Amino acid sequence: MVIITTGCQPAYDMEIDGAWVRATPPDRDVTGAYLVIRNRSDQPRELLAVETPAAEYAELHTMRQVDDMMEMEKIEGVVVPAQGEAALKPGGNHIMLFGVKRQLAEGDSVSLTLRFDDQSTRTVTVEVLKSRP
Amino acid sequence: MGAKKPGHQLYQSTTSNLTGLVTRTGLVTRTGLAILAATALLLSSGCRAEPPPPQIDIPELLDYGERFGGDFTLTDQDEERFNLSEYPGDAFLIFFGYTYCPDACPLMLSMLAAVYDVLDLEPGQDVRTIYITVDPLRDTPEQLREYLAYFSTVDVRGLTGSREEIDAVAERYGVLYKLQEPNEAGHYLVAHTTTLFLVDREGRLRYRFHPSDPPEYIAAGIKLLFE
Repeated sequence: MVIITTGCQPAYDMEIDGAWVRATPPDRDVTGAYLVIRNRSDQPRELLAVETPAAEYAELHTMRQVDDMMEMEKIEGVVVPAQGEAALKPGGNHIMLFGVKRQLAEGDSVSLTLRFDDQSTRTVTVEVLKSRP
Repeated sequence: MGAKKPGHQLYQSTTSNLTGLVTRTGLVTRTGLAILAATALLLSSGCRAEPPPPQIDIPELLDYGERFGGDFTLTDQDEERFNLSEYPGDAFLIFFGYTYCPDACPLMLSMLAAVYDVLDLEPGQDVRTIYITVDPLRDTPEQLREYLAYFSTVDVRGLTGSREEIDAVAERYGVLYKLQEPNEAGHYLVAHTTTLFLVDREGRLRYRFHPSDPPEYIAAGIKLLFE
């Protein structure tokens, strides 16, 4: 990758891009949130936790193939390499929201706070969509 | 040209009762002809400035014999009994899931929408999409109806039945599932096989797609059934 030095510092070391939360059908209180994290620093960072007022709690999950079955499994963190990125996407590593407090319709937005291993946080407002953009 | 992707690669982690199923069929020749024709087209285009059209992989269809796949009877989201043989001459895409599935199943529905976007069928060539729940306890016909109306942009027939009926169909298609530990609220996730099955116009299982196969590849497999 070619990094062009423009002389201005990026506002954040950790940039969040393409974030969306999947809309919830009636009577469902579990859904996924997806985004790409870009690490502009020279240190690897790990995403450790996600918080949101829209749900009782959020966890980091991955999809694993076990005995020809896809199984969702909780993970402790997602590493974002130095000057690299980590994609949280359907079918891969992703954020799960449990106990969604009210139905999320397309066009709503949800606030997510991402907490990293250096104690820094990023809060982003995320669009609710039925399927990935 | 290396365009073909052998279907038996999908068999790496299947259950023991499915091993040794993979046999070649006469369609290999047909696929080979299609590739020859594609090569001829590429050659005849010469050295123009325009780039050649992107190469589309074509699956090599398989014959799974009588023991696997085949017809079944379940109940659809409108509480009507459903079986494949009611639709002679139609092809089917079949997958298994459950409506509380937060990630893999909505992903499959978006992927199917992408398949239908690139699938160029002629009048009279009909493909029906079937979604069979592995969680019949929660997935009543009404639940299936609501879920599919909410998430699916393509016409999908959702099927449920008794646990025994579902298990019999799952076994014939080599589908495994496992109910996971419920949380405090009693909600549970279900690990399950996420294969997309292609069933031909005679109701025979012909291919097992992986959900990450490109939509163009899946569409090319469907088209083979109508050649």
